[in-house]
Amino acid sequence: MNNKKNICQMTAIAAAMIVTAFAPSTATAQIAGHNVILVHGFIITDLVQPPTASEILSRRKMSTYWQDRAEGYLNWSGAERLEGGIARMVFEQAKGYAQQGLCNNGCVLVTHSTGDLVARYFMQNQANWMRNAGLKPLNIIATIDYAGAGGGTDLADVAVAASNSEYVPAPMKWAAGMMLGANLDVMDYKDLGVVIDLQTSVARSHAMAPNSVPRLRVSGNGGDLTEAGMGQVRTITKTIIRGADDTVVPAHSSCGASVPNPILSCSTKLDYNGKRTSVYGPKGLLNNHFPVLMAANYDHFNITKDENHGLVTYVLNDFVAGFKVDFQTYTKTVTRNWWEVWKDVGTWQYVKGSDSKSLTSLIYETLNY
Amino acid sequence: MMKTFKGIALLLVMVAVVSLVFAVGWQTPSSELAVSYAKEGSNSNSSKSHRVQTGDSVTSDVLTGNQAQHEDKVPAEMRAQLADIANAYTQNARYPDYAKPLNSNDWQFLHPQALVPRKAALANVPNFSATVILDRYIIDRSVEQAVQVQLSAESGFDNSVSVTGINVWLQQNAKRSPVMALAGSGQVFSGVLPVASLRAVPQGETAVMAQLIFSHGEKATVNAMVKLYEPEARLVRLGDTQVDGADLLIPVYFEVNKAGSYLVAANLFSADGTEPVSHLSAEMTLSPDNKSGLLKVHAATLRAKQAAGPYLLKDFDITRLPDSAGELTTYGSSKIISFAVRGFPLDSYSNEPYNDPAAQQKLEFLQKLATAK
Repeated sequence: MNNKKNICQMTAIAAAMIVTAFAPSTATAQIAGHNVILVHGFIITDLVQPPTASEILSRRKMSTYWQDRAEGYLNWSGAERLEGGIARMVFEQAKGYAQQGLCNNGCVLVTHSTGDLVARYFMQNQANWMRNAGLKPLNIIATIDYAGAGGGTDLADVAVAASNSEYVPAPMKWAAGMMLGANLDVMDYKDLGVVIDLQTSVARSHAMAPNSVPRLRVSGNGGDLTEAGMGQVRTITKTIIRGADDTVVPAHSSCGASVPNPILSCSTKLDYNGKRTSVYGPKGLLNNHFPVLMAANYDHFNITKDENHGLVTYVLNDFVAGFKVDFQTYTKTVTRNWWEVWKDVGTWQYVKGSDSKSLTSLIYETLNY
Repeated sequence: MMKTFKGIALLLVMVAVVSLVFAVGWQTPSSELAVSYAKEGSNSNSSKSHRVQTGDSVTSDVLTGNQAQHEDKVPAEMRAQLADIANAYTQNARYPDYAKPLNSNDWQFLHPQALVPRKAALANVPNFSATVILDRYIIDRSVEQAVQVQLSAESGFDNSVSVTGINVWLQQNAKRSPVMALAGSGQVFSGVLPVASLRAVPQGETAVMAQLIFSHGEKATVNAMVKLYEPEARLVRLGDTQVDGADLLIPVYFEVNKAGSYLVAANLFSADGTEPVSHLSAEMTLSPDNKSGLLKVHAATLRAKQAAGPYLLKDFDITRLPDSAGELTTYGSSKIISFAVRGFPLDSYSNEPYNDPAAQQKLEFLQKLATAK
């Protein structure tokens, strides 16, 4: 039965890929001479309305800014499981790129949210799969991970718990369901698709072997709590998620921390708002995971867009003991008189231009010099 | 009456002073950035994030938007940070993926296949939560498993109410294992799930259900998800270790039920098990006819950790990799929790550094980013 389903699915993917292969590409740029492949995040409508193979392949879900700079896509459906339909769909697209030689000179994957987990699983297994298919693996030289959900999220933990028990408090069930596009009062566990893979324990059990691909992490801690409707949802999800979060993903995941602790920053010396101070940050990072930028006011959904949502700070981590960089020139120091009790004093560090440019354009312009 | 006038006058003066202070802050001539901070401060946003305050007086080391435009396209601080990352990557690439130095903060290596416990609030018992705890998320169901439920009462909880008993069972779709009562009282209840219970449901994702019975008659269930498996391969013994050039070779022998490509990972410690030395991983093709493979430790890692041995090998994490996309990962286990491993003096190894050709292009990419103008 499963085999029959797989064969049908593969045929549909192949047919859809032929159509997609002739679709025009609008890409105009690379990153430092390397082709860019986009891996989108969880699409909120997938659980209630699972997309067809051709709909998945024609998806352009990452921000238009990145679409204009990408040469390829590894698309997938949130209604499927990571080790099932997602792996099959992603691999079928990757085989096409392997045959085209798209990554012979090295590709950079740009991932968002669950795309982080999808990319990690693909990178660990693609060598075997490509070898068995008589192809060379894609040469991935780096990833840029926005709001990476590869470390799992409490929202998925709550969603799965709610599908197994009627004792999850209603507001938590409602808010988690709203963020994941699922009515958790009626949905069964098996209908939760990739959400099951996003549970903290499950995500961190997938493809954790060390590899040589550097993963550059971008993490936000924002979320407008005043917006009518969604403001209430975000207020609750920020309560559900332990530690700092972007309304969907906790900092331990987006930063690439080795421990799923409720950390408040990607650094122990720097807050999300750029203030240099002692913060509850990660004691260790996953192999070759490097937090690059943090932003206090970007949330899970606007972080990949070409929109300015406030200042961005670069992460101080002392990755290597003894290697110090003098950042003093690029700081802002605030002092106060004795009567200015309302002022927050201290030193902040920012990336120049982040007062007007989007976080995404800062990244792209920095990396694509 | 006079007192009222004085009070109003004093209030007006204070309002004026505060307004003046804010006005001075807003008109700080030092930078355009200061203005943008003020704009940001007017948004209402994340409750957890700290905000830059409005009206800051800013010292002269602030970079203005104009300054930014006149400098290199890539901000210098980003270049410096990318240089930092390139340097860290270089340091890490000195050690092979098959034997990375292991440190006490490498939680993901020290706790393979871990279950991350979730503190669950209860809809019908406010200010009370329960956490189901097992050693691992991925569980060998041929071995009995300890299970614990920890209870936590928050402020506002009616302390005259207590949990009088907890029942536990496994649940997968419509299938359930027999119910088992946990022993305990107060905040911790614990027990051991027998193999018969673990095998009462099919392999795969399973909920460990815990039913809490309260003294006031309420009941509630909380759960933790686990993944049950029957081992496809079992590590049964190690062979004699030997030095081969710059590597320490550790032969490993298995009982194999299903042929395939296996990823075998484990942690190497000092002989007393206290000092982490290296996280080892190796891909091995195993079958009923080919039951052995090699774990390796590079001398670069042993020298960095100043660890000549003897060692202890433990924390096994054995997975059978999917042959094709869409196939499920399956798992193996070790019959023995830990093995003693013989060591050799560090000068027994050759001195060539580890060189990973796969890392070179990635390093060049990071270095190019770091030097971009």
